[in-house]
Amino acid sequence: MPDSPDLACVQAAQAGTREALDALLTTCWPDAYRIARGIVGENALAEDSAQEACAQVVRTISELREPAAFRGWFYRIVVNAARAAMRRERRHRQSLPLDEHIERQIGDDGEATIDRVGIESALLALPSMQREAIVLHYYADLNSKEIARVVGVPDGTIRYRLFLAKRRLRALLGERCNAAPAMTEVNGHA
Amino acid sequence: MPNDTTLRSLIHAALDSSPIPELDLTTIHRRAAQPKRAPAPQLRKRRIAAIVLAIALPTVAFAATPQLGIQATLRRLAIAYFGPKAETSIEHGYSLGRPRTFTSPGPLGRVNSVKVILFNKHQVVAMPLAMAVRRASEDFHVIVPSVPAAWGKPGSATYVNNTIDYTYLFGSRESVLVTIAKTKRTPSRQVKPHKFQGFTARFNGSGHLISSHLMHIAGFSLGDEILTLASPNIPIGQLDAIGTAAGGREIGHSN
Repeated sequence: MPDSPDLACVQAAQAGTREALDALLTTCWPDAYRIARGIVGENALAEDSAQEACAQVVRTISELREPAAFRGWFYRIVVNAARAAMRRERRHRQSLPLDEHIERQIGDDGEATIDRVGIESALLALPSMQREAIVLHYYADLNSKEIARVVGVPDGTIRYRLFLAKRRLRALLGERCNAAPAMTEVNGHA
Repeated sequence: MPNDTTLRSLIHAALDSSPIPELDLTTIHRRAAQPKRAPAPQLRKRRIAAIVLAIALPTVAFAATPQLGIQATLRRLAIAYFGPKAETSIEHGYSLGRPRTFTSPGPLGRVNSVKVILFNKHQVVAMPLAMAVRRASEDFHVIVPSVPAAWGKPGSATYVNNTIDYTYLFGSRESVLVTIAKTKRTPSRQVKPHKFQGFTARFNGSGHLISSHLMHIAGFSLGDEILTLASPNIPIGQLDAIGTAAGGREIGHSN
């Protein structure tokens, strides 16, 4: 689970303390970048999104009514910044051919371990709304209700998006896992 | 097939393994200090207005106006409304002899003007005034034509009580008034009167544009066009001759 900022730090930042605000941004920066990275799928775009999200925090943290709700509020800003960045860049990740990107490695014990490029490619194969839900669920460790508040849609919608996303991911990654031993066997016979 | 725990660990591993760029607090504070960009305005549909050029020229006057003068005015209008690129487009229209349409985004991002210029056989085509007004929902350009030598110099154009009056100067004192008035036909469609804008242009004897300026027109009603020639000093016979020479046909007179 990503690091949660200290409540006192949030309150001090809301009061206008520059040091507290900088400390808060320093704490949130890795989360902002990684979540944005998971959504947009590109380093430069993710950095730009994370920077914009942090700038938005600087601009509007004084308007946050519940300091304890900072985490969800911050995730919502990050998601919105990532969406805006994707709109700007007009990326259509869904249409990327997976076969060119998914890579996998087979361990000695036969258990499939899929490398970073593979899982990221599988993530990018998801529709953006499902990708947001998956990243917030698996990386930020939010449950469906928390994701619903962040994204601004009903809880049932998030559960359905997660269901579809998981099914799709398992299908994408499972095909590779199942195909690899057969290939190994064939290679072994050869 | 990876289970839920595997998926979680895979995604964590993938996102955690990507190198995190250094936090640039200076840049973030600078971005925060910049005013946030306003959201892009929504395009307003059904707000497209038309600007019609040259087709507002009355038929009789159109016949008396050199094509060179009309084309020069069109070119000037197109550049004034749509920028320098319009000149290339309008020249293309002339060369192809096809209708050309120009659009330009307005200050709010909407398409607030569409200009239609008709070409046929490499010339601007005359269009009845009623049709011109019907197609011009916002701006209405009136081009004061050049006239035969007998008409004298074109003067100002005014719009009063649903008529457009052109004044032509004969010598230094005499003048003839050309009035475009609506007929008895009931207009089938009214146009908002307060948005009209007129454009006057003056040409020399060889058809070259001498000067032009925009003028405001309070309103206009649809109808067929009738030119009324009137002058306190010019005999009626001479007015008839002027009208006939310009391609008109006398339909009545008051004397």
